[in-house]
Amino acid sequence: MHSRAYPFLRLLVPFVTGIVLGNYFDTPIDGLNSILLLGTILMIPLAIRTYPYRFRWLFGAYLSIWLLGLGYFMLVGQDERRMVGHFAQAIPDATFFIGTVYDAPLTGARIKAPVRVEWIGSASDCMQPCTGNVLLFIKPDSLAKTLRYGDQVLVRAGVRKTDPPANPHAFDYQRYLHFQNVHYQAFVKKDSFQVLSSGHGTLLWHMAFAARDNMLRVLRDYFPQPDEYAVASALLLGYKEDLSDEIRVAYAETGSMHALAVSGSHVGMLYAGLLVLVRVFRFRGKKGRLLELGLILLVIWAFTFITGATASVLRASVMFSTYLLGKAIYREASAWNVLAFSAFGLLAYNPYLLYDAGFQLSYAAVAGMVFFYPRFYRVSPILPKWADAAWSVLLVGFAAQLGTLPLSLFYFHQFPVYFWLSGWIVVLGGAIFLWGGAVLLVLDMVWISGAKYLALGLYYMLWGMNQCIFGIQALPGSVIAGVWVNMLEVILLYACIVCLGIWMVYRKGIWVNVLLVLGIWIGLIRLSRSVEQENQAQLVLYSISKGRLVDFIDGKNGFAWMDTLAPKQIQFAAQSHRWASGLLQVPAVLFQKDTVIEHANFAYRPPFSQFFDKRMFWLQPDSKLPGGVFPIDILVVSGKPKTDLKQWVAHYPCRQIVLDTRIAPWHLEPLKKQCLEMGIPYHAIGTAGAFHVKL
Amino acid sequence: MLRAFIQHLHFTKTERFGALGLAFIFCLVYMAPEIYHRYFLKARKTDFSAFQRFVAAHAADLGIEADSLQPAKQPPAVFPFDPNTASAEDFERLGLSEKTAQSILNYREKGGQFRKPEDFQKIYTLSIKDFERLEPYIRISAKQEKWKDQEYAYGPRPAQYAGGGYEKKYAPRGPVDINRSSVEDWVKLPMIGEKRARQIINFRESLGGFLTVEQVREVFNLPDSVYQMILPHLVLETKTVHKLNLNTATIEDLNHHPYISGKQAMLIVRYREQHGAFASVEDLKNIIAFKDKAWLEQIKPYVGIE
Repeated sequence: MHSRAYPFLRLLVPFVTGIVLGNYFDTPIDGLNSILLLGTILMIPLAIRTYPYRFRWLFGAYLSIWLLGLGYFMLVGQDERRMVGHFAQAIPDATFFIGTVYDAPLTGARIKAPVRVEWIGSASDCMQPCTGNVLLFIKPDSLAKTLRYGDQVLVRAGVRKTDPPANPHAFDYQRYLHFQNVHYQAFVKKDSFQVLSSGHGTLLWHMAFAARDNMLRVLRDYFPQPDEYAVASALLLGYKEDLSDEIRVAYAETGSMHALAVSGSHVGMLYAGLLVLVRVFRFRGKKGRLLELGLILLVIWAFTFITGATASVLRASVMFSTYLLGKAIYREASAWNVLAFSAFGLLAYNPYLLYDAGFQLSYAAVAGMVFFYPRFYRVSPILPKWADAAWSVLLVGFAAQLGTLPLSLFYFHQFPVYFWLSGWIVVLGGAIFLWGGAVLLVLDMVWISGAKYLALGLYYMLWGMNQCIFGIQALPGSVIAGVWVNMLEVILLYACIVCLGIWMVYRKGIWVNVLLVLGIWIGLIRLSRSVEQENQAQLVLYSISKGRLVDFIDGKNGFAWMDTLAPKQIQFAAQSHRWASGLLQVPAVLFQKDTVIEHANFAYRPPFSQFFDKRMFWLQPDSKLPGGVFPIDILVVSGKPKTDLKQWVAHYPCRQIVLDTRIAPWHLEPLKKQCLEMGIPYHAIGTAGAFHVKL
Repeated sequence: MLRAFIQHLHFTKTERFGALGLAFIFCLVYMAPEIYHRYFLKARKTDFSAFQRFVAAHAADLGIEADSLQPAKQPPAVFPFDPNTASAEDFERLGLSEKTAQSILNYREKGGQFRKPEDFQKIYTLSIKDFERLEPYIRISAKQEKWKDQEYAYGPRPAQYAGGGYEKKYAPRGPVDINRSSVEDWVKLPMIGEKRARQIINFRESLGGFLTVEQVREVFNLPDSVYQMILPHLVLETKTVHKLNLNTATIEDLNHHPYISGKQAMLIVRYREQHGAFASVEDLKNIIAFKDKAWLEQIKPYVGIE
């Protein structure tokens, strides 16, 4: 494996570095575009020259620097906030804006529709043109449900910046939206928007979304049971909106989520099936070959658009297309080169894709498969055909896991132990369903009773598949959860995997030693983290709307205090932080007035609690003012106090005031003012996020 | 192939020692956290005596009895449950009050059924917050799910209908073909007993056959509420109509038809006697007294010349 044999790999590295630098520094460089342009012109004489041996590296270096600049420029230029005439300045006075929906709206508790703003103003007849993107959150009433890609809407709502995560280590939605090129959001109340006109945007996308909606409707008719319908729509069309949480978790914990996310494997199966079909029709001659190529490309790209062109499908489609085109010109392209070319192409189209978890995971998986699978297969024994197929599936799954493990630990903090078992089920089921589903959709148009029988069979297959997945999930030790790795560990883990690969190729024992050294390095990082966690003391008052959740973290033990909350709320707010702090199980207890709690380092005797040496007073609306003075450290205000806050502080002098989410927003301002007047630092959980103190 | 693998496993002596040393350090580093936890970690324990005095002084200041305190309760568990079969203890474990648990049981005793998760919201004493918290865990057994698509107009049966032979009658039995069904079929529908079923069939005979489902509404003494209740089960699959022969029917025959009154019957026969046999059904229009076009349209499908 020599880098010169893979030209696109050499081009990719500086380009990616440029993108990373662009994201890190996030500042535009004036005149960079003119520099780059000049640079291309200069490249021509440089390319023509013959170089003396000493300077043979000059062109490569020049090209690399140019690509670096290009990557940087493209990323920084992509940011919608830098567009000329962005509405950012108009926000404080704006109440109305007009924009066009530029992507299919997502369903859920709120309908989320990204909109390219065209006009903004303080009244519906007094608006000025502008640019920028806003994500609308609309309550799903009958009007909102009809919102489609390409609709131009007039909205009456306040536009604000997106919010950073409210809880420590919680999913950073703001960052996620940044990589979707959205930095502003608007919450649209009932009757606050209307559709002015429809049909804007590209015809191609309209057709694709319409086709997708039609197919979803057909699937809904044939698979009325919600779970099976959800899996069917995810497998066939990559539509993940209707997956219940239960199914999502089951597939994630068994390592089969990739099947539901329409990864490149579906495109691969589509291609394999098309090959079979093509062989049946037997096109001949040069014209025949071209027709064949055109047909396959058409189907692959139609599939891509109908499923919404997610990153992994795009990558797979580009890869297959280039591979096919290469074959057509009678030149075999190596997998690495094709991979690098598709990555380069996709990143040139949208540099933000580099930070998309799906993009990263699918390239990691394919790299792992391309590198390790042939080597594993070569050393495995010769098996009869059926066993060979099963064995290959196992090896491919294993190779893919090697590629994605560090990243998936980083993102999902869990390891699916039975991934190899679920791999078989999902590959088999996925393949059958992909082809069965396609046949079903065709039959639906020509022969309905036949379609109904097929649908019944497919339904039982899906049901069976789901039951197997639930069964695997229920096996003991099916998930190793709570694994926390930081970015450095991810890099080191990849270094280990690369070492493993090098050892497999060059067979020099030294690489095993390097592997061990890297392993020791990782071990040391984990050791220091473990020691830190054993000695930690944290107090976290999470930000949960209309509820209270408090974590008292004492070393690797934790203790939670909460109102009755839905498990999903707790998980969303606290799970990641607990895992990051090394806590796997946290016993919990209900917030009740007349209870006593005693632990090693925590005691609650209403209305006070003490955690280590921090004394807290929990001020409720029905608390009574005492006569004397009782000094404390933290005063937690839970609901608007009946008397003036200053009076309370007079009797309970403190060093910190926390205003929790039970205080209505309109009561916050006067309370904040009082804190400022008293000179006591305050923290309003509702606006500033969780209150987190390391003792 | 195997040879290549063996080649992989070949280590020189120096390599072996290097690997051994590193492997040893590797194991040490990965066992270290556990060793630290067991032998080097100092357990911390706070002394809460000062705190307790502080709290006691505060309680004294406010005049509160500090000893009416219980140990804290665990937050309610959530687990999959079937609201049709779960016990009162199950509901209380899920965090519902005794009152709510009891009202759910009362609802079930009166014959209430939860056919889909949304039905659980019907319990008045169940707060929206609790419903939202528990909804993902509702598991209704498949037998009831089969009827998911059919909307039932009735809710829990009033106590007087619970028990006895009414149970069988109220179990829905699927669509009834209004033109072909016998008394037994009609009896299976809710709120339809022998008497009503006979009435409907008599009406059908007199009519000569139903042409639309809405005509069932016209059955004498059939309350509209009952009609609404059975409407979802009615289908019209056979459309045979027995027509009255305008040329041979007597006044009684014609009068017998629900749409034809005695007077109208008499007018028809009188006209026939005066002008001879009807050549076509349209000839009815010639009868001057029959000014109501709508009635003529209504009657047309039920009369003929044969």
